[in-house]
Amino acid sequence: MEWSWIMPSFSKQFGMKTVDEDEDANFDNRKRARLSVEEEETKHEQTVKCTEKKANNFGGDRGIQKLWCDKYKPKNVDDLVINRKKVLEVENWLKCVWRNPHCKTLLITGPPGSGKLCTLTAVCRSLGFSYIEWTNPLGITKDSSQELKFQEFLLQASKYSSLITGESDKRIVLIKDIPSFLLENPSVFHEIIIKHTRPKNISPIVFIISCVDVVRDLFPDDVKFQLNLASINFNPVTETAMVKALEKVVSLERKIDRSFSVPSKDEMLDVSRTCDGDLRSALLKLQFGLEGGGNSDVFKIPMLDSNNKRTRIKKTTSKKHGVKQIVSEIDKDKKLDFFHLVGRVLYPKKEVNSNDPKKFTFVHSPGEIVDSFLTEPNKLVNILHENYLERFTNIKDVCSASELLENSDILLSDYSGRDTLTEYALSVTVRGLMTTNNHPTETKWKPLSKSRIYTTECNKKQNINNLRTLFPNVQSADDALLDVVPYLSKLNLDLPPEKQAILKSLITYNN
Amino acid sequence: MSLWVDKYRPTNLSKLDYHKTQAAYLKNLVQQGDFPHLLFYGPSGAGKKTRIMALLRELYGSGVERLRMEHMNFQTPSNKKIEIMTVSSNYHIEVNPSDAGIYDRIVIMDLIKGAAQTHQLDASGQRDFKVILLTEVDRLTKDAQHALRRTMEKYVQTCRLILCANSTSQVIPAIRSRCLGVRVPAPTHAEIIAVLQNVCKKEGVPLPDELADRIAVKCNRNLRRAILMCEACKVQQFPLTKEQEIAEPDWQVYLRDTASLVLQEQTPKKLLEVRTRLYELIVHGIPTDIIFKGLLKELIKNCDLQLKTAVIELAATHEHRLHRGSKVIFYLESFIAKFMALYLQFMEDTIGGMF
Repeated sequence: MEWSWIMPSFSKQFGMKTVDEDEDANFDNRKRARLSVEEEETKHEQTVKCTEKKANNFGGDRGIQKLWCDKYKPKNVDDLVINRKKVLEVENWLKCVWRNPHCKTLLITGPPGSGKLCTLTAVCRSLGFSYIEWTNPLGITKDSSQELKFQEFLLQASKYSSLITGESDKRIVLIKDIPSFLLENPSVFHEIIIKHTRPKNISPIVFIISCVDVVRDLFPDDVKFQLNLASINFNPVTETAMVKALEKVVSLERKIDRSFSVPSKDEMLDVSRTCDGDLRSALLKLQFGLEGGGNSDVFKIPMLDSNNKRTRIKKTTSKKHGVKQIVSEIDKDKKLDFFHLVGRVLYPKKEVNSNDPKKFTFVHSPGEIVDSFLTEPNKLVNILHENYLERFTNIKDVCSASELLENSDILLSDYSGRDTLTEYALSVTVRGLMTTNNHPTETKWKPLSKSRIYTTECNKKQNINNLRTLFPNVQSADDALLDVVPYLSKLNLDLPPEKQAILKSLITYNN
Repeated sequence: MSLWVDKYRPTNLSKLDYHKTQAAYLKNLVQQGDFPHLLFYGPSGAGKKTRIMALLRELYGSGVERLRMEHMNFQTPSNKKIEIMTVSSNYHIEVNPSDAGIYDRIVIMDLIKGAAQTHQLDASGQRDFKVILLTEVDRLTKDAQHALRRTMEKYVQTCRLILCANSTSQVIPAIRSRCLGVRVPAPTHAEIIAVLQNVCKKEGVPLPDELADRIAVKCNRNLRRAILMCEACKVQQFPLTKEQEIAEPDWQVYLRDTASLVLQEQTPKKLLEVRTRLYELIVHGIPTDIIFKGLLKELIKNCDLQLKTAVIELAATHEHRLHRGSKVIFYLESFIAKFMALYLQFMEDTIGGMF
């Protein structure tokens, strides 16, 4: 660190690091804010550097290994496994942004592990731009101070040049961690961003967000329009591309460490399939599978924690089976998505006992389904309630099912005992619906619909509010809606048209 | 222009049209030095509110009629802001705490504390207490009712509570025992006719006896509805005739159609259709007890005596369970499902018996 004696005045906000240092540090200290100053490097130099580093890592302590997903992070545009067109999109935007003063913001969306940041980094490097990233300050901070810090960051990052490199004109501000306080009040975010992007000479801002909900909250259409926001959406990494990437990594790794056997193509496919296009998770799984199943004791502990006793006993020392087995083990822990679980309740698969046809077991344990919804019981109960009727054909079955739903709602409504009762309530619902439907519908699959309970509640509130704006002196909304409002419409009162419309909406029923 | 219901609302205890003995009792109560907490209960449209206002007037004089509306703000421990509308005079304050939904406890506690901690400003005023009028107490959560019980005792020096509810069954016994219960029964058929005739005479609208009779039947012994029906009749056709059509509230028609759907076909598919209609009723703010009652009334029309008992029992069970739970649709739906099964069985038995 030749320049450690110069500390930039705003180093409190973000430490400054060159890429190489960052590479070493980010394994244990990823959360630190960083300014990456990318150097133009030829591919040749890079590979030399990489191999040097690998030698360092593996020559010494075996315990501290670098994660493959960090180690083999693509540094060049050509190394990316992303669709070339996407990369070009990013590249074009970055090239144009300096010329166009109105379009200063870019939003990159896509599922985790689809290479959003990697692409941006690689493209920046190829174009010779640097970027500066916001990270949420650690520790307890009051909202206002975090807000101030964020604003300060935006200002400094886009206005002042770096003291070390002295280069500021080609720098991008990257916001990947959305400050937590902004998630709660998107309007503050809109204000800050719109105010910030008003001057023409600021650095371009790139947002990288993987969560769809956050995107919807933070960038509604009108804000998008005001910001003139360009957006690029990344798709999950395709299977073939992923397998290719995995193979490449394995072959590179084999050059240094020969202690594991090369997994077969099928195994690679298995890994990539379980990851749904999340390359990062695929690499982690592969590394875990190969090294854990191979020689290291470190990885055995989590495997023993696994619930499944059968696979634990069956576990062999054979390296050949290592990957597959571990992939399946990890797979067990993987959360099934919501609709999948709902489907398992609505269409229960039974395994009939061969000795006694009356006895059966469920293929998918109801207990597991209950466990996955302990944190949001109402969500499951509501969606099951909305959809169970369509799958029943016998009204007697419906009787028992609806009574069980009632029971579970009563259990869920007990606020004081919710810690213990939630599980029972869910169990009643899930097991109830799985067992009561003795005459299921013929058709195999019907789309699930959203529960109407919440919207009904909201609309009701809306109606009552409307009533109150219409007649401010109404005290009891119930009485008014029951008696007064239905007749008011018949009295031909002199009301302004908008009030007439409200009145009409209060008494019209859809058939 | 004000509605007839408001225009001809008696403001004085001595001017009430019916329940005159009760009015005399209330008058006595005011003249005695000791004024207890009161709990008015009775069906809607029976005149609870009218009696309460008349009673307040008796207590404080015409000053209680100078009303002002205020929006009061409350804050929950989780920093959620609730706005509640209150109507108040110098002597009393009226709130409907159930407007705050599940946060009604905070409204009750803050409001009573605020109102009760200050003494009556005018020391020479007739009373040394203020009145807090809480409407729809039966819709309060249990939490709020317990809070109410505690605050009731604590601030008895400076304020009296007048509670207003449709039925005492949802009011916890602890509150019931702390209040003097005043039951306001629904007016009888003859009383309703008398009031209608009276109102029409004052309006200068001749009302045929037959029409008055039909309105009184149709209004379900709800005087408010009766007067509104009468006014609607006048607007639709003047002068009034005896065969004239009496408009019914839309929700009642809708509810009846829903019940006939249930009787048409007893399948899960139909139940799904009924569910949509039930949601529609809930959205329009029709309280669930009304839905239960309305459905039950229509459904049992087609049943024999034995089945009737069973169905009424069903409705009672499910309505009771509803108060233990929170998602009303579950209980309504379950009731309909049970009824469908029962009715299907009943139909099969009758048809089987015929052959």
